[in-house]
Amino acid sequence: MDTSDQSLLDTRQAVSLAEGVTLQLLIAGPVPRALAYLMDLLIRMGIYYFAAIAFGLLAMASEGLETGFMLLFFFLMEWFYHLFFEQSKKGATPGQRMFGLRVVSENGSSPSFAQSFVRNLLRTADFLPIGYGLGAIVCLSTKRFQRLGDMAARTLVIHTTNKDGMNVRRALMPQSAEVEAPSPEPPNAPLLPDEIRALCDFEARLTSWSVERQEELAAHAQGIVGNRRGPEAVLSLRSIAAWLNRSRGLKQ
Amino acid sequence: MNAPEFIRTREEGWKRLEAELTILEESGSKAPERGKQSEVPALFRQLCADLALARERCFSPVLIDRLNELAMRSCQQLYGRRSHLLEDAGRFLIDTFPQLVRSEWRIVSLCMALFWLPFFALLFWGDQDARWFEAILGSEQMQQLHSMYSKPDILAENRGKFGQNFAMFGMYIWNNVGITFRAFASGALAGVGSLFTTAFNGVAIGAAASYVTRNCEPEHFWGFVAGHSAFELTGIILGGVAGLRLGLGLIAPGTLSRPAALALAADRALPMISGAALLVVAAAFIEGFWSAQPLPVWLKYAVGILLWILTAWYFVFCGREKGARAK
Repeated sequence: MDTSDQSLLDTRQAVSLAEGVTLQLLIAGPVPRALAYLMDLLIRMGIYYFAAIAFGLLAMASEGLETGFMLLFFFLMEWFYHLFFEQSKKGATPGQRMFGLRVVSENGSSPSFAQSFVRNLLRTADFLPIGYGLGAIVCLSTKRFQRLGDMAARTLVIHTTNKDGMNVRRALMPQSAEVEAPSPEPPNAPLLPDEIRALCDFEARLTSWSVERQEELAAHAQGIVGNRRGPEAVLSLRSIAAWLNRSRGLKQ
Repeated sequence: MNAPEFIRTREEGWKRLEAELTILEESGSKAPERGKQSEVPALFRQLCADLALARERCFSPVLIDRLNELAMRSCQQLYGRRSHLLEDAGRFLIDTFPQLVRSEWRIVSLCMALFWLPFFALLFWGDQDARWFEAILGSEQMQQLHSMYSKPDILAENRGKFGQNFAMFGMYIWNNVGITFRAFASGALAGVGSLFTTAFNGVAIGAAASYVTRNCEPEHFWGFVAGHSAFELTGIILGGVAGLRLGLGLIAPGTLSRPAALALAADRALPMISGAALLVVAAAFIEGFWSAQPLPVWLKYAVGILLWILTAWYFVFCGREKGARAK
């Protein structure tokens, strides 16, 4: 497994497969993971609430068995909720699915039972001192956003794409009206793969930024925009992106 | 070959692979139908070649992302998640677990000392100063112990009610297995949590035993705990051992990076914590359905001693003939 390819553009990280190809895993940061966790917490609290009512009703019918079942149920929910869903055929908890996250092994495959077991037991340590404080610190100080449990179990949390092939992270971004693509124009020098990706991403995400932010970002691409600044710089980047999208095939 | 042509010729294979993957993901079954070979491996190899080509030629990132996603999904279906849980469980209980405990004898000794030294110290000399009980147990728990282990045996009386045994069993699972898991997980804090939990349990249990022996009905107490004590205390101590093993990965990573050492330590600690949890679950069965039964005290003592001997024998002698397999 090779993870030396450190791309600075986003959280994409490369994993080499035996098949002779490199997979790009889009590692999820602490914020979507925290949101997914909170969603799972809400779901669990909802289940506890209804379970308490159900066991309460049972108590009227039976004579004492319900306490035992309730405690066993709470024990399983507390320690094995995440493990159960990570190992289920969907491969993610409801909260993780909602935010397009998935737990995978460091080589991109599904996590084994043992891996899920370890990473979820260690939530106790990552939770300390309160609200996953330690987990968040460890997460932010590792290259691949791993909390202690992820490191011990050799797992990663990645972004997945939804049914339409759209990256969920991107689908969640605010989308305003489509802007018309400018006339395509070839770049004046050959571009590197990373630069091509950056330009296409720039075009794809354009509408989610304010005009000032667009211009600020465009100013970074000095090799392409040269001395141009402001709307001109944005326009030159966009026309190259349009050219790339047309000639490299298929903006979907 | 330019991009549109590339897509035109390959699209069908990608669509087929996607359909196959969707079926696999939704059914969750890994084996293809009888007499029919799965197309996925072949399609996956082709896809890998396509992905490499698309990257090399700098085709559209949208296309590359799509192929990358397909490769990732195939990888998740083809690799990983191979577990033979039941098959391994027998071997684990007969050989691997006691071997593992013996191979970790240094940490096991340390944790045993951390637990048993304060336990026996308090049991024998706890009455030197009555304030010790007050400080460790608190007046509330002292009262509770009083009501549980004094003259009419209310433990056995309460258990007469239907379902009460089962309720207590659930209670012990919830509480004791939780304690064991926490003793393990807190070991990820450089081992400190496990050391603390183990010593704390020794102090708290020792103080309770010492207090009850001197101030309540000792026979009720010792008769109650005799049966499940062997499995429960050993399980809780081994939970601490597993946590300390984890913590050592962070403290003493050797020539590895700390994350790598932590992952290796987790590989060793995982069977340990599983075994420890199983012991505590077994103890919960005994504690729920046996310990409080209104039976003669000598019988309960005899069963307790027998189980301690059995436990010791298990960890010292089991899996010896295949000792070479232990790492």
